[in-house]
Amino acid sequence: MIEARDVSFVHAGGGQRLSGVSFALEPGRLLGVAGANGAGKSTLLSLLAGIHAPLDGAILADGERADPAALRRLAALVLQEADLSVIGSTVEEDLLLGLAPGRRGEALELAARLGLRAPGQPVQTLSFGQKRKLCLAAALLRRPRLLLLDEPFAGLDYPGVREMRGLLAEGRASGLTQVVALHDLEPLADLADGWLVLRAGRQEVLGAADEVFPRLHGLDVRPPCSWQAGLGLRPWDWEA
Amino acid sequence: MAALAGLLPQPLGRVGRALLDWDARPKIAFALLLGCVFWRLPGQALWAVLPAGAAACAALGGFRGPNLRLWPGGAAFVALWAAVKAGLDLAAGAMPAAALAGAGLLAARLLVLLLLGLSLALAASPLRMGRAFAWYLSPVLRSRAWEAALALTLMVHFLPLAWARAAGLARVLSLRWPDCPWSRRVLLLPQALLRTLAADTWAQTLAVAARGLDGPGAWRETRAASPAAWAAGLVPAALLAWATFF
Repeated sequence: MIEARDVSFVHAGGGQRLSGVSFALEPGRLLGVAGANGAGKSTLLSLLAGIHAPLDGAILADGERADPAALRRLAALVLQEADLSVIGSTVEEDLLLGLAPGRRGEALELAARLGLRAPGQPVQTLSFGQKRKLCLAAALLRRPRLLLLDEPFAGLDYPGVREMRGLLAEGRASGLTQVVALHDLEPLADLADGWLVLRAGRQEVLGAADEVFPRLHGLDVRPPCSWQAGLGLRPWDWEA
Repeated sequence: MAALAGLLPQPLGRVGRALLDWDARPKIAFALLLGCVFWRLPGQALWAVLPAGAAACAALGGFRGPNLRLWPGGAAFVALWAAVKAGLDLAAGAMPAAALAGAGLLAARLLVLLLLGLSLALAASPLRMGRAFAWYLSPVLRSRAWEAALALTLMVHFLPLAWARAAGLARVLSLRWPDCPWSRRVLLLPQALLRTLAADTWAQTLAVAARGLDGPGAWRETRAASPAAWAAGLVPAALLAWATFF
């Protein structure tokens, strides 16, 4: 189980801050972290990934306090910026980066499963969605217990969103714990087991979809259009 | 970014693929030895070497696609130094013909070295090159050699991005302010570029950390050094060096 207890953080220079974030996540659960730009979603992910250490509070794994080094061993973070994350010059070279030499077969098999069937393909010829998948494959090859995804749907076309949803559902079914930061809730509306909403670095709401969605008023987050449709609301009627 | 990226290995045919597949360590040794030889070659021999360099570069895709964009900058670099050399020779009292001949020789040397350098850069991915450099540096830097490999790889990885950002900003400025005076342009563009690159650098740092690449494990050269690969690199270069210097 992954747990955040009253986690707080301030970036150097006093910019983005995060305060009082608490949640617990059972294995195999998928948590959606929602919030407007600058709400602290990416900061929370970097804390869970062990890239930064909380200033206050703690992150626990299986009830034990996990320091950043321990978190880096158990978590893998996939950033939004695929161009910066893909460092190798071919699919294979990027996948094998940092892997033990004996894991080539496993890496290529996973890539093929994600639709990257040409290991020698130069990365500059990959589409945006394919680069995202490559980043996801590289993260999964680290065999994380906790997978963190920052805006995995941003910039993806409809087939890309469907594929990404499929991959997240697959991860969930296989028992992988996942935390997904996003500002448009629709792609995860029926997949997330729980939702955490941040606003200006503060935790505003935490709970299941039916508890969280009705409380999104004034939190700069729009509920999924599919959920609004169930209430007879049109997509832009929510804050009206 | 992809459309503007440069220094991308795009091997043509079997020769290009064989060059790309060749271990980067002997490749670097070969290029260094050859560079010393080319710097000392007499003028006529140098002109004879040029087509061979161009052929190697072409086989690696140096004259194709995004790599073509590297050449105007390279040509400007060669022309600048040739002009500086001619100017200094003339200022020192050389006859114009001699100054021109000297500048031409320098231009040829630089062009050959440019072809060699680009061939080397195109003959291995930044990652392989970084690992090879780390392997060379490991006796000196020991456990910190991976940092050199990471720095080199990121530099090569980041250059096309910076290039694309600069081109994008110039395009945006020309759209938003078509009559922007030159004096404002030279101030606005570098400022905007620095701001953008600062954000990219931060994201890049996070990406490296997120992928767990900020440690020695990812940068260890795992390929065994094959004697045949070393021989293929060092023997011809050593023979050429011997023929040139002795």
